[in-house]
Amino acid sequence: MKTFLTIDTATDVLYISVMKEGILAFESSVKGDKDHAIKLMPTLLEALKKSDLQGGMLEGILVGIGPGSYTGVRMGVVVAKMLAKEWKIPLFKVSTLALMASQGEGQMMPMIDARNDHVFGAVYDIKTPAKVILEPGYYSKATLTQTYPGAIQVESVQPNLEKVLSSGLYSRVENVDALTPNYVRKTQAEKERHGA
Amino acid sequence: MIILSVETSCDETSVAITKDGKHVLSNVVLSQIKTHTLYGGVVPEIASREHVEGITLVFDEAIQQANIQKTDIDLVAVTQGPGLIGSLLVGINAAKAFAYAHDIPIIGVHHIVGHIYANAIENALEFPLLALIISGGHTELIVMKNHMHFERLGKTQDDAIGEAYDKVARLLDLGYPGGPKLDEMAQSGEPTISMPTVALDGFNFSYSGLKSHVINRLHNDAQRGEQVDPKALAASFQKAAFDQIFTQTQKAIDYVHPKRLIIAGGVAANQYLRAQMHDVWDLPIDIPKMEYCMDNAAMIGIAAYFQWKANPEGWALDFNGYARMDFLKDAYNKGEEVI
Ligand SMILES: [Zn+2]
Repeated sequence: MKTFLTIDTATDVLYISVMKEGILAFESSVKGDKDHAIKLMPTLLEALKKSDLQGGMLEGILVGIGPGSYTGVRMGVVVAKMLAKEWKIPLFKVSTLALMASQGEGQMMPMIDARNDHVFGAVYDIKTPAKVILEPGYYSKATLTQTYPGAIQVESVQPNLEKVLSSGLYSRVENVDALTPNYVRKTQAEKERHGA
Repeated sequence: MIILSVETSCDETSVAITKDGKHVLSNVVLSQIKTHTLYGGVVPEIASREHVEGITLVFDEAIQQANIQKTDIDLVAVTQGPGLIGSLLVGINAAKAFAYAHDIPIIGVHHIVGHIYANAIENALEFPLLALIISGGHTELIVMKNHMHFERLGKTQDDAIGEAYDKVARLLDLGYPGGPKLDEMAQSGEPTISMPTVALDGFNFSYSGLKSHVINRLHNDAQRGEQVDPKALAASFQKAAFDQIFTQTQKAIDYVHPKRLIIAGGVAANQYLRAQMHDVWDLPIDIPKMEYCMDNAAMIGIAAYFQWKANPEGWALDFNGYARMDFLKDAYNKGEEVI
């Protein structure tokens, strides 16, 4: 895959980029607390316009699916699902944590703040192909950093897309309609109902 | 003109195809009611999650049932608010992406304007009309002298009627959704329990006094080890709740002399109201069919047609959703005076 759109709205950063023939043609990574709803579509329009591409010319859409409890995580997933279907192009999913980890080499520990001294985190060994050392989940930040003291901590979505592709940390979504974010955590109501 | 409309303000994922502000070609509603029944009410985070799972399939189903091509669609319309923000944003983003992919103009529609326009599905609206809006979030009397022109005569000073229904239903352990269950229970009871008379000014409503009275009654009875007949209590509450509606609406009818009264919002499904209204009010009344009283995308598509006629301009894709939104100020009556 050489020409594709990447969307990630799972954190407070709205990340959108376009790779065209293997070259980064557009990249926008904007921190904004509650304005993903306002900026997502206009940034997408700009991304394709500046890359001089039409949706149907893309070989695929790569979407970050969280984890996260942030309202934004749903927006990127919904838009990616809809565009992939309507443009009739393949959809690929990637953990937002893997996107974060791809900015470095070796043992990487991406973390998304989940309040109460907890994070959504994972540990990867970024190489070709990459290895997942600890699956994305909800962890105590202290435990995580003590267990993997050598890992490089990253807290921002600044992916190296070539590495994401070469590392094999993404996968094709076969049933586009059924794709949902990786919330990791059940809702409070579900936990109470199941008496957890 | 063919409109694809989307409504996800609460716990129904709905997409409709409507034609010329009148004909419903399809109106697909994926209800989450079974899920939320488990929790005794709508859980916002769960509602948002279920919208994400269902939304693209509901689009497909609506288009397929209407038997149209996507290239036939002239306009996309989506509920902008009010509602649960997480739920609204799923529908808004899906609608924006669809509109963008097919290069179709898009507009946002106010949920309550949609409820009002559910009445245009059966009969053309005739002006001036008086609209009685009764739902979980609204209890209002609105005058319309023309399409998309709203003037408020009165509204609830505290709780909405549907809110009071849900609260009383919860106290009586009727489960979710409380309103319809309370309505059903009231059918089999006699209104023998006295309820407070609420002093109302102008064309306004008030439900917190009535609600507190029921809460106190149940509380005091429990302390004395007595148990009030729940059927009688439901019937008495229901009668008192609608006495206000009947009286205040009649006052408004005498003041406005509308050609028709239209009733909108979820509480328009109430059986007691439907049984009484023609005896109480002496003018033509429009009330949507049951399926269009509940939240549905068809009503959004009908409203969108008239909104587009009043202002045929697609919106930029940067519009947001809003949990709270006053339709008299926000979208349509810019700069005009509101009674
Ligand atoms: Zn409604």
